[in-house]
Amino acid sequence: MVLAGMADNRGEVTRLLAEMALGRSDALDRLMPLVYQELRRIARNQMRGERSGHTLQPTDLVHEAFLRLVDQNCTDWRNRAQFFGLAAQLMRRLLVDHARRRCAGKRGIPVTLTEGICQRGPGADQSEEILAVHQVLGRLAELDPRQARVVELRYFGGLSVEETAEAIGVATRTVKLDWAMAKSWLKSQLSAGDRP
Amino acid sequence: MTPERWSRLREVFGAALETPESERPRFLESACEGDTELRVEVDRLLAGNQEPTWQSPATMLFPVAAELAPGDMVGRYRIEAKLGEGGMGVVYRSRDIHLDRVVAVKVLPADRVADPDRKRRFIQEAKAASALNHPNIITIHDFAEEHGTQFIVMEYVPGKALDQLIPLKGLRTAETLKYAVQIADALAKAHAAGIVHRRLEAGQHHGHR
Repeated sequence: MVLAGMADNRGEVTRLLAEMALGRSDALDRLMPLVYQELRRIARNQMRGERSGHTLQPTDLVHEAFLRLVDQNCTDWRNRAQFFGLAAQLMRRLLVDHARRRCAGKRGIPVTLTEGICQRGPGADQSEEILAVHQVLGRLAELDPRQARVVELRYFGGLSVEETAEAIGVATRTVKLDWAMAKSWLKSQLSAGDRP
Repeated sequence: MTPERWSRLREVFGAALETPESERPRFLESACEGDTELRVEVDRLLAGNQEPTWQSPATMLFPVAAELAPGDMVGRYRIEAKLGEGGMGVVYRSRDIHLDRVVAVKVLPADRVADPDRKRRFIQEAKAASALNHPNIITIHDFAEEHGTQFIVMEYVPGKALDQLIPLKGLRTAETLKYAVQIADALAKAHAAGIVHRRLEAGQHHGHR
């Protein structure tokens, strides 16, 4: 039963979010697969002619996943912010995993893959970028934790400036400046190698 | 860099962004107060900010979305059926609802749009093919972008791809030659225009008898 399954997940996700807010880290690990499953399901459904455009915006997916997974009767903006942050973290993990596999394959013994197999996931160039950003982001977090969160939400989570502002609980103006600065700084770090 | 230094950098960078470009040098001169190191950092950030927007790789996480289903609209073209998948994208038989005719629409899948190299090659392919006018080369009708998805609209050629036309025991010599001449002719035309195909395979040649 699709409906029953969804209702179960809804209760569980809401409960896990509450646990996460209390600082239980294992709640995150249990939430991740539930959220990912839902994101993929929504992505598939959106392709069934519901929209004229078909580039799926991660932000739309996250919105819908939130509406479907979190019990709206016992939720407030904090859950929403939490959920967005969670989705961005999830996407970061997935992207980094993808990119690691991609880059590992590249350095190993040359393997001929058909186009059909290797077309999924990020391309080689972007894989390197993803890994580099993932690494340098740790340094940014030491200098400016909020900017690092902005990058996680915007770059890895694909969220808009407004959603990022909502997720962190700051003004959009602040996010715009944080993003502009973090972006430039990260780029300078990436192109300069390991310049301190 | 210390946190104090960082927040000073953020402050000057933010103010510089809000200053019209023509007045920036003067503004930076006074804001940095002879602190050349700060000036260098701010300049570096400002230069980095000029670059095109940074594409989030997150769209690529849902490659299942790359497929279009019958009934989906891409611009003014309604998808009818998937014809095949090539190195550069997925091709669908579609209907141009304005002109009410059948066309082939080639879409660069969403999971590759974020790859600038793919995107560039896709545009290049459309341009190259549209520059050619030959009975054995598919005519390009349109190239467009909608909601970040790029697509090439081409003449629809009914019939089967060459790899499906070849029976198990092989083609008769006369037929083989007929197709070979058609292909060679089209390639010669492309070469004369300075275009190299690079990926010639039987699945890409549509034979009509």
